[in-house]
Amino acid sequence: MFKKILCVDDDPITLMILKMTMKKCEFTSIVETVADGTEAVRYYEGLLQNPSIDAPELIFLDLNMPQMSGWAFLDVFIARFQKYFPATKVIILSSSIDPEDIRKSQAAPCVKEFISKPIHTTTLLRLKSEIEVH
Amino acid sequence: METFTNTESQLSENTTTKNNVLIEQENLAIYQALNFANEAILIYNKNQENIYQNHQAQVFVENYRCLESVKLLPQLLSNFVFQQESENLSTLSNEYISSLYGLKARVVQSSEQTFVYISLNPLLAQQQEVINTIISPDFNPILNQSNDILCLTTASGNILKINRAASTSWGYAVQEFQHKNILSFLTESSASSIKESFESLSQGQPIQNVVLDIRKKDGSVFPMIWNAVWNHQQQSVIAIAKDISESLVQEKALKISEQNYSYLFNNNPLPMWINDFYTKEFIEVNDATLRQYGYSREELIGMTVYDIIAPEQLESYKNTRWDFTTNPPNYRGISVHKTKSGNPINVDITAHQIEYKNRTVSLVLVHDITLRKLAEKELIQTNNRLKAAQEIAHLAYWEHDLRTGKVFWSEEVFKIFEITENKERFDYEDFIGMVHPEDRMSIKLLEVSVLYGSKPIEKEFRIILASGKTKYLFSKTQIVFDTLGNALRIDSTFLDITLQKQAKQALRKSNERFELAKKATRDIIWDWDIVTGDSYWSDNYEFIFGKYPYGPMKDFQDWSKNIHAEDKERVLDEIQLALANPEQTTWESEYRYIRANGEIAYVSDKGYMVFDNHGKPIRMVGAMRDITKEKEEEQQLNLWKSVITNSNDAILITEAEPIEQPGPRIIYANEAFTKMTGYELNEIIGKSPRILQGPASNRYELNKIRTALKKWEPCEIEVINYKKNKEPFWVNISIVPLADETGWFTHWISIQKDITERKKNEEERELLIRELTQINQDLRQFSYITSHNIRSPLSNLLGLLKMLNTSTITDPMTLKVLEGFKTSTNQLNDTINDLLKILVIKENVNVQQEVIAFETVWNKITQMTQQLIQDAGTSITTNFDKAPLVNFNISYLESILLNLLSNALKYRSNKRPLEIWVKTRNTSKGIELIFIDNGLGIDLKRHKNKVFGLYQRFHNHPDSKGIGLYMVQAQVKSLGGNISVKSEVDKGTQFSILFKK
Repeated sequence: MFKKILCVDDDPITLMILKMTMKKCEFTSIVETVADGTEAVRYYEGLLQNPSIDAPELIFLDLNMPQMSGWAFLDVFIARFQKYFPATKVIILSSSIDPEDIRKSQAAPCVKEFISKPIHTTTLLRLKSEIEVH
Repeated sequence: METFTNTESQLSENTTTKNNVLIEQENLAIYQALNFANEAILIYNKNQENIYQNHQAQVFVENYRCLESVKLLPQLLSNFVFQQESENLSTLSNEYISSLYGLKARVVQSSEQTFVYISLNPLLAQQQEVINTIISPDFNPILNQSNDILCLTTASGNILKINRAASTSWGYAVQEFQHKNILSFLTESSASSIKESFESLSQGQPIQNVVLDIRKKDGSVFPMIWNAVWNHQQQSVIAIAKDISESLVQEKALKISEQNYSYLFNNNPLPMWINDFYTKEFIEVNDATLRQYGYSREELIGMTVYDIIAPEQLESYKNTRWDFTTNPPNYRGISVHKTKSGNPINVDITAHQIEYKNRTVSLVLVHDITLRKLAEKELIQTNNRLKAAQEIAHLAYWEHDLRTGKVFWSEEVFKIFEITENKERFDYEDFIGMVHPEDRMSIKLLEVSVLYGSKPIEKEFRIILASGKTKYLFSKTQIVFDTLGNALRIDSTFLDITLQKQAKQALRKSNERFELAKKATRDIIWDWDIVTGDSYWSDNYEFIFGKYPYGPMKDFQDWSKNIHAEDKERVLDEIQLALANPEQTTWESEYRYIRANGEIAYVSDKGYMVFDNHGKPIRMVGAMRDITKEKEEEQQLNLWKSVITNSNDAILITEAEPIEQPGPRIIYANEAFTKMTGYELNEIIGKSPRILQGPASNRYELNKIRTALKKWEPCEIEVINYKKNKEPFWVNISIVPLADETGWFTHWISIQKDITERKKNEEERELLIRELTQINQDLRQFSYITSHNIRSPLSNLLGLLKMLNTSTITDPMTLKVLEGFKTSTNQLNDTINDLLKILVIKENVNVQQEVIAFETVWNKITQMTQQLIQDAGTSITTNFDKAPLVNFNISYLESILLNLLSNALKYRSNKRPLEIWVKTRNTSKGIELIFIDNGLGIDLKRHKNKVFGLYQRFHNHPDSKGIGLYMVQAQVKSLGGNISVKSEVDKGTQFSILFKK
């Protein structure tokens, strides 16, 4: 079981379902949610100021979001935060079927996987086992 | 390998024709090989007729002027050879030495032929003899008795046959030569030195007299002389090796021959001696000399040749002219010697310069010709009779006595030479002095020529008389021999041919002039006698117009009837007018003329009138010229000109150079060009086509022209040019070089087309394509966004439905509503997913392909649908044996087969149990998969083009979404394959899928 997961999505229903599904399969202890890239950046800035707070082990990142998209956040994350949180993995969780998005996700080394919405309990269980074993 | 010991069996075989032919072929090869020999070789048949001469023999016969003697040679030899009983083969070989020529001849006789070798190299002659022994197996006994090594090998030297001598001489057993290379019996250095020459034997290069070292079986080394030739018929090498110690035997033979010489010398009935070439001291004299001159040998050896020459001959003896052109140098002449008692003797001397005991000496043979006197007296009487006859015939005659050096002139000579005084002092030098300087040398050489040739020589020459007058003479000169064959004198008769000569020369000159005139002009010269109508036509008339059936031209009629019918009246009228007009002296016309072969010629004709005293034209002389070629060229040119002038394409012709600044000058432009560009003709002639270029002209394209022009290559470009009013226009320019008849490039021709309209269309089309591409891109992006925006809430709905715990809901109505909500959401999700799949198939161009077994995929999908198959009571027959594998995308293939199978299951007939047949086969176009069912079938007449369309449904089936076949087709086509369908309603359906190879 993960200690802390960050979900970045602007759709509250998605976030709700995600939380409920995670709970169902005991995926994580804490789920933190932010609504878009800017909020996620702010979240990480806060983490840097407060080193006592545990950093999320996994980020579920939506792509299509207002203000700052998932890709824009990923760029900022890689540039500014990854060196402080090298163990953090990113999972793209999107409804996009644009092949360009899939290609991009394969190119970024910190991105573990591209998962199409909706997320199923089986997927979460698989992720849990894969990452924990690792 | 075989040795030559099996003679008897070979002899019996040789009686067959086949073998005779083989032997003949072998002979031919040997004959050819003999041409490489250094000595002259002649072969005579049983009848002693010469049947073969090698190349050297032919040269010999020609060069030594002794053809007669050579012909006689076998006759002489026959006394030696042919009379011998030939019981013992080894005695057949004989030597004969010709004392006349100092030549050594060897004779070898077989049952059929006699071989004669004339050679200065006796060693080679012997070897050549051995080569000849191969010709006929009759010689096998000799071969095996021979001490020479004789062997036949392959081109690389592997021994095929070798004679017994090899074994005895080299110490090896006969068997030890088997499968060995002949070179392996040589020392290493000898073998490597000859290897290359040996290998080129088969190219016709013989090995001649090469010394090579043999290593004997006991290890000792000894030299042998080798000769080898290539026998083309047998495809083998004939090699002969001779023990060098044999040359000792030769030296012995030479000594014997010297002894023979000395015998011939001493016992010769004619006087012979040897004197020092320079001091003239006697060195050797024979008995006949002593008898002739009356001295003892002791007396003579102390004397010189001067001592025995008559005093009046001493001077000429000192000036003796030797002929050094022959080998050895020789002298032949007549002199007067004196005996010890002082008696003069007339002698004929033959002398040769030779080397003897390290001194240069003359070998002299003396012939006493005093006895001939009587015969000569008789001759003089005959001459007197001749003289009388000559005088009558105005034949001049002179004779040059070779023994006395005196010249006799007949009276007629003086008449011709117009000499009246001092006739008795007129000598040979005077005669030569009167000969024309240009002819003098040939007359001087005349006597020499006569001496060396037995035929009379005829000659024409000129003399210049004291008066300065030139006369032409014709002479016939010959040599007169006595009965013993000695040259007595030179006779010459001559005729004065001046008159004939002058006449001939005049004729020739006039002919030459005429011929020259004819050659210089292509004109036919004619001469028309107006009064008689007769006409003369020069010879080239027939050359130009051909031979008419009625023969050569005779009169005016002959000419006029060949004028082209349409021109005839005009031409004849013109002539009549010209003749009638007293002002006119010439007539000139062009008309068509019919050739002998019926073709039409164009001629240009000019005539000049000749008038009588009254100014009446009596004669017309003219020149007619065939101008057909010029006419045709002109017409051709006019044709081209009109093509260019009237062309709708603009045409420019420029000079060939300069290609660099300022560019070639325009010399012609057609109307289309002036129309296209707006320039007037006078504004562009002399300018360069560069004036048409402007800022928008593509430099890159223009450079293409420059590059092509520099290489004299044609080129085509499309570029923007400018009209006179500066309006730009697109033009297609095609440029080709023009060469004159010598191949020299003289002009450029440029064909230009205004393509502005086409360019505009092209640009519009390109714009349209760009726009469409953009729209397509936008649409695709739009579909991604749309799908995303639909999928997001849909996935939420699915997620929420999963979360929903229906067990807590008790109201049956709500439960039903929720159930319906769930079903609809799932259906929506399926539809969206199908659509997305299609989108992905269309998008994905790089689908991974691999080699897949049909069997595996089929088993997988039947496993997935096992329940459905069983429910439908389906019987499935598959056969993938003919094409078990295909190169395709595995998930596509699964999807395709699953779609086809589920379609068959869905649309099965309820009238009969479902049957499915699936098979594959290999065709020239690719792997074909055939899928047949006996289901409901599709009404293809109604649905023809819609079978594979999106959302096309042909059955009212609850699960039908009209997407399956569309997917199948999309997946097949995306990898270059094809799908087709055959179907009949209520019978079944057959799908054929062709996978690209």
